[in-house]
Amino acid sequence: MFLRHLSIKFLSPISRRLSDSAVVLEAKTGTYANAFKKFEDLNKPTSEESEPFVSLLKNSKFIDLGDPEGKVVTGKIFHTVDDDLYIDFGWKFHCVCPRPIKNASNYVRGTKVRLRIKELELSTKFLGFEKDLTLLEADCQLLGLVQERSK
Amino acid sequence: MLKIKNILTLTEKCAPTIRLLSSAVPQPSESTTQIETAQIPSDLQQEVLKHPDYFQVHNLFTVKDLFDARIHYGHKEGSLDPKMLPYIYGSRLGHTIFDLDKTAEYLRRALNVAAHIAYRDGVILFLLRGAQNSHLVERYAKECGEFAHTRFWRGGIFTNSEKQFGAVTRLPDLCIFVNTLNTVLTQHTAVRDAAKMGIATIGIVDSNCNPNLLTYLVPGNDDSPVAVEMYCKLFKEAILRGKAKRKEHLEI
Amino acid sequence: MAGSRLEKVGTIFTRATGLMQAKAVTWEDRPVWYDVYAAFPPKEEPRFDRPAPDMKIKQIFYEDDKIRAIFHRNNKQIGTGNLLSSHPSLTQRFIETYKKVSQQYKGEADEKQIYVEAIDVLNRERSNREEAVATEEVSLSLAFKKAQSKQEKTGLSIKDIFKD
Repeated sequence: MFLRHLSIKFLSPISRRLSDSAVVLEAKTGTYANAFKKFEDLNKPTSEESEPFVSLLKNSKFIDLGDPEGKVVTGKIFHTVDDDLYIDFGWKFHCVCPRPIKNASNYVRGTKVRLRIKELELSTKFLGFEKDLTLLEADCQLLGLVQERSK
Repeated sequence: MLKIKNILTLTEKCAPTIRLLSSAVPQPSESTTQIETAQIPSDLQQEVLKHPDYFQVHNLFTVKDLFDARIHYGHKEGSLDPKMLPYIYGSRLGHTIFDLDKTAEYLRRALNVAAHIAYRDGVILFLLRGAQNSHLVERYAKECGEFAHTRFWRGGIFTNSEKQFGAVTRLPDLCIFVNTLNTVLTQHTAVRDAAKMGIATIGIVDSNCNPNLLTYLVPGNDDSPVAVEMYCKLFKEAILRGKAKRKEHLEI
Repeated sequence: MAGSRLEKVGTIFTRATGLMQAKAVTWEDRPVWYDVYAAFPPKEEPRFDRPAPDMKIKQIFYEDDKIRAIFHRNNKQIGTGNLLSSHPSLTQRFIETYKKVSQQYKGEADEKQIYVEAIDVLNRERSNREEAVATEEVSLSLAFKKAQSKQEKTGLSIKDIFKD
């Protein structure tokens, strides 16, 4: 790495004489890249130590919900089909809500919305089956848009 | 005896009904005219096998990555398959949670196997049923130069392949099931068929799946798109590492 | 090439080994995954008839859940949660304050007392934070000027960094 620095330094006066703009550019980017590499790792967190799963779970927002029924969460719309909005709020499944009449045009892909959870997974036992059948969806009530706080 | 002859004609023939996405093989005719492909010397192969983690798959992810990709979320207790109990950490108000330490161990094992099979020039097939993530899996399979089948599975694809494709076929050496259930929540036919035809399988099993017929199972969430993307990313990385090593060793 | 399609008998490995022992499949024609399986066998044998283990599912409850229940019971509206953020939620902060307060009392106080105190602490914290934010906004220009002067003092020049 050190030798490379030296060689680049030797290159630069030569390149100026040769007036080869490409070589000059390469030498310049070389020094910039080296400087970048030096300071790149400053903000990188040491990713060797990872929290154990048990503590990750204990401090997770999912456990924090407690009993999820009736809790209000924020979600983001990731897909729209006519009047149905597919909203992802950080859980295993997404939920599908009908487009509200108020501010209907504001609900597009990427909008952040507020939801009240009714049920996290729509699944129930059907007659004759041992395991219950799941709809692969959560059931939530759309409360409205997230009010953007002006900072 | 059934050596591969022509991957490309295979895909052409089944293009209208089955989308078997082929790898981005730039010059297909070159690689398929030879019957014997280049071989890595067997002593080198043995050495590679002896190493517990030759392709460094253990540092492809951390438990936190799996946590953030929502891999620990399972279905409700009502749809739990009792064979999945050893991999479940517990149930929070009826919702099962996977033990990510165990999942990490199983996943590392599966990634290692996938990398080794890619190193040995094995054909790998990604399988998924479910329209939401179908495109994602196909894209990742294409990026790592392997195959994907995320559409309707016709009965005899493995068991009656010569009649189905109308040509001699080479079956995949490894099947990676990103989910093992099909859209009506019964097990994917290919799980049983792969076991019949002696094909090794890696499968992501959710809490409502039957893990018995899968060679290497990985307990985890298979419904969230984030989770599916995480699996695809990891398998793609492992396969590419295996292939890179193969290329390196063939040039020695 | 010979094969055995009996998926309910043994595993793919045992069947492949059996075929090779019976000389139906030569060593050169063995499956690609055979060596890999031999070197890295799976933790559980992939047998069709592997029985379900006899274990019960564990219910996940924590000590904190008691405090959480008190908080949620008394306050129906706790604001919007966000499952995806790493910022501690109101409930989590309440649990921490509750624990601190109960430690201060060293187990002598009543549940209601600790709860009331914890709520007080949280309210105080919130009003402090709002004040801080308000003062911050007012002195934005001051802060900018401060930052400028600080910059000149350190005397760090970009040229030096790139000189290496």
